[in-house]
Amino acid sequence: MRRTLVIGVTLVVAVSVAVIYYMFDPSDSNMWFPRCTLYTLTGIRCPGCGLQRAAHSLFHGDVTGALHYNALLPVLVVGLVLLAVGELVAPPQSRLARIVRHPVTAIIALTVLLAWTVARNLLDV
Amino acid sequence: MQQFWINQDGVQHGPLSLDELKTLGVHADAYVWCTGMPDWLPVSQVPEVAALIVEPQPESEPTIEPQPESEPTDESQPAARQPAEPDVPAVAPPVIPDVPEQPQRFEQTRFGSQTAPQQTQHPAALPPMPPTNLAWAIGAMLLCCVPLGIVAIIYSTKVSTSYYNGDFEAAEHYSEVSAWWCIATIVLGIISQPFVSLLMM
Repeated sequence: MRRTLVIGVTLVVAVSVAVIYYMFDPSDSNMWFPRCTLYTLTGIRCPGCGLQRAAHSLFHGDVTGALHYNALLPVLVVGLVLLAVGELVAPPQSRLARIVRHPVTAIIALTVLLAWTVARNLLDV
Repeated sequence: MQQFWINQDGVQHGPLSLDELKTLGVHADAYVWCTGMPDWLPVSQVPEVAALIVEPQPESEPTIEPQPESEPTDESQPAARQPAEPDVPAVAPPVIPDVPEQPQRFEQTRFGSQTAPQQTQHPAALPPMPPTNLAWAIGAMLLCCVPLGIVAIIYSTKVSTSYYNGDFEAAEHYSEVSAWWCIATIVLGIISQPFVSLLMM
């Protein structure tokens, strides 16, 4: 019951967000789009910085542009979808669910995100 | 909706939903069975039902042991052998085989280190793993607020670690904590947006 609700809300939010980023360009300064709190306050780029512009580029077929804004975009999208499917949709005994819920998966995810944060700020990407 | 059978104070009830169990009042020394379990389990090992215990759970008092040994052997055995659910025979709970043996198991499995052997014996009897919320934690971290999101991810790591160490109560606790950190991350991310936009002007 609660699971169905979570799946439904997630799908609706994901689709509407995708439509918004297809229609509007986040790099347009006349439009209002959320800004990264961390970047605004400290100047440090967070692992998610550039995802809005990357999503807009990707929806318009510009893969190089998308990777330029956030090089981790494909990993983040595939990883998040797999995690959400393994957590919500896949049966608890299935292979995907067991991998997703394994402690090592969470530690790998945290390491990748932190390493990407350090790397993009040092290399300025 | 999952249906439970419960055996407490020598009387068997069921099938009951979680709400019905709540109205019945679950005792800390009760035994619980639901479809998918090979055998009855102490209520403390079934997290959904353990959350409904009305009395404070006795902390390894030796006085709780004699009770199930003396009484339920006489009364609960006939109750369990009756064809209690004639219309749903496929989901009838197993007959309680040997009640005096179970309090000993209960005492053993109270401690995390002792649960490992039992896990190998009854793999299907493990309580379901609580949600780790990892996807939400990462999503919230990327889209809202990085420092709070990292806390959410760390707690979601603790869910699976505790679960595989056999500490199901801690896993349940960390699952809830990580969910709240996800919510806090998202709420703070939304609240901070007007201020962040003002800063950029």
